[in-house]
Amino acid sequence: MKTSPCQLLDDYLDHDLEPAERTRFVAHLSECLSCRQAVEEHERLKTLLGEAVDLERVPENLIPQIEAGLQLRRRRRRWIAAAAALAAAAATILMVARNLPRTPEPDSPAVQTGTEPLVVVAPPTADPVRITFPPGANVLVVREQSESPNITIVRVYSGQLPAQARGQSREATPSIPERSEQ
Amino acid sequence: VSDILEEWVPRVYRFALRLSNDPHTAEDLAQETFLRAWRQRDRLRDERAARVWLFRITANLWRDQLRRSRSPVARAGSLGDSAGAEVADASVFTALRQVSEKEELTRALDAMNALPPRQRQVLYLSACEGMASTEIAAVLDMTANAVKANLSLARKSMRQLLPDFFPGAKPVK
Repeated sequence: MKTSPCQLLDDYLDHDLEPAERTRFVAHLSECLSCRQAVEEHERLKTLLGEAVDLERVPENLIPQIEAGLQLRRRRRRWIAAAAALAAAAATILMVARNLPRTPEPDSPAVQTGTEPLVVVAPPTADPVRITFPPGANVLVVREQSESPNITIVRVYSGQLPAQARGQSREATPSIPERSEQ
Repeated sequence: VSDILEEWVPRVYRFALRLSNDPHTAEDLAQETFLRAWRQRDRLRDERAARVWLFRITANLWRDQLRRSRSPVARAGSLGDSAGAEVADASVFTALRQVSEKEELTRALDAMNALPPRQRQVLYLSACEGMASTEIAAVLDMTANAVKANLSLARKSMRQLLPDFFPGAKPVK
């Protein structure tokens, strides 16, 4: 059954016609006053409403607010990605470290803790440091105890010997205490 | 991004106004629309569908808000069809006729805003966004036939609300 062009009016107004049907309806408008008036009214309504909504002011701060919100999301996303990459790298390092051979070197001190052997590898030996003082210098060098066998701590006192160093009770403090480590 | 926002924020905001009929709610809806669109941007396969996609997010956000809230504002802007509101309330007709000194455009806007929610929304999307019924149906999650029925009612209401703009319209009884 063939549709009367007038029946296409609503579809035309609703933007629902296929191109061929649309052409057919537009041709029909020139000969149908009723449809033409309806279309003219609709166009007038569209124009009115289109101009009317343009009058509605969009809040000035809306776009900057949305932009700021999006930037925050992007930054957060980058942080999350960086943190994930860091965590992945840390996990890789840990896995590699756990799989390293644990044989101690012959001269290295080793400490046994529970069932897991813990290997303490001594750092390479540093060259000995030689401290010389000019002839006649009034100094006293006292060696202090160190928790590490690889570190030697000495205190160098110039002038009078401190009471503690001499093991005496009278007050005598060094003028410039210095610290030297090897 | 700035260019996209300049183009789309006003459109989304105005559509949000048609949904909620409240500027503050529309502002919140527009903001949340873009944040959600950013999160879900991978889902947009075809840029030509961006408009429907964006407006659909806005409409879904509004629907969620309606579910959560029972505020007077939310009820006034309900998305659903209201049974007794096939055409705008007669008091609105009278009020609109009385404000003859108002400018044409403001009157047209007031008339559209006075329509029942569904009619207001479909009329806006059709007249101001030039959307086809199928697109409007996708945005508002309704059938194309329901869109067409609401459009027809909306036009009828507008003719009655603005009789001097439409000389051929029948007078309101």
